[in-house]
Amino acid sequence: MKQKIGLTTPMSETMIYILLSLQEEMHGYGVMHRVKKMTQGRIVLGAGTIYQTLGKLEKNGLIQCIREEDRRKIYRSTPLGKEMLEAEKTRIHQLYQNLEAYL
Amino acid sequence: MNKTFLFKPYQYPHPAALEQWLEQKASEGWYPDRLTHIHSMGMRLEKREPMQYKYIVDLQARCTAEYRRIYADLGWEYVGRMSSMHIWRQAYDDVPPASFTDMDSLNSRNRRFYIAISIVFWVMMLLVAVLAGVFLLERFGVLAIQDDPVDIWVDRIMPIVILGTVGTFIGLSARRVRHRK
Repeated sequence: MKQKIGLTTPMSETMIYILLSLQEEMHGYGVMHRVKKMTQGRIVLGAGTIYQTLGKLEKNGLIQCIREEDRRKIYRSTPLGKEMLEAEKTRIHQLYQNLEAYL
Repeated sequence: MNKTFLFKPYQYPHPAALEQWLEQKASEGWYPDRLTHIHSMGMRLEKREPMQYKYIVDLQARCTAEYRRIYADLGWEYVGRMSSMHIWRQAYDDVPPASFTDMDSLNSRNRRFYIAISIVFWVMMLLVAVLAGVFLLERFGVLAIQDDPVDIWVDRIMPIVILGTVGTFIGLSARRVRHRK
């Protein structure tokens, strides 16, 4: 599925966190704050990274712009985006289990 | 007081190098203000109080309202654009702010820069090849140009240069008007 929609596998950490944030309606600036809070300040997304990643996710149909407020686009994940997150969750869970078992 | 630096964007093969030059100039108190397309040929810097600034050179074919809003929300000041090259800056005290915070987006910015530079390079090479071809064909008698060399410039080369310049100006203006809508 990932090859079909043109994204490299696995998804980058940035992409996963942005997609995860957009399970709720949010604009780019809100995404930056949400990711910072979720990672306890470990990941602070820059403007260029947010703009590019939102564009890539929207182009691949994983998020969509639902409206605009004060020249800010408000995005939300699509069903395909949620499906991709579920697939990543399975992959990362397996990775975690293997690290626990063999490290 | 101000200083003008000629063809600065063309002197750096990597956007990070242009950023470093601008940051060094800011630490010496020299700042570009309101950059426009023409400033790629001559960048005028104004003298003010030296400060620490982080500069970002980004390449975007379209400067959307969303693009400018995201940068502005995160504290970046828009300095201007030279063609598709957008310049942003932000003052800082200790830790310089970053715009590209993962390898994917940084590599993507660099790739866009190389593509833009490559297009300019190959267009220039094509122009040189055409002019060299015309010269060689004329030199070996394949192409018989009877006119005086000055007439060739006035009658053939200059109209192409003028049409090219006017076409580029109209194209850029049309794109700007379309993006404002």
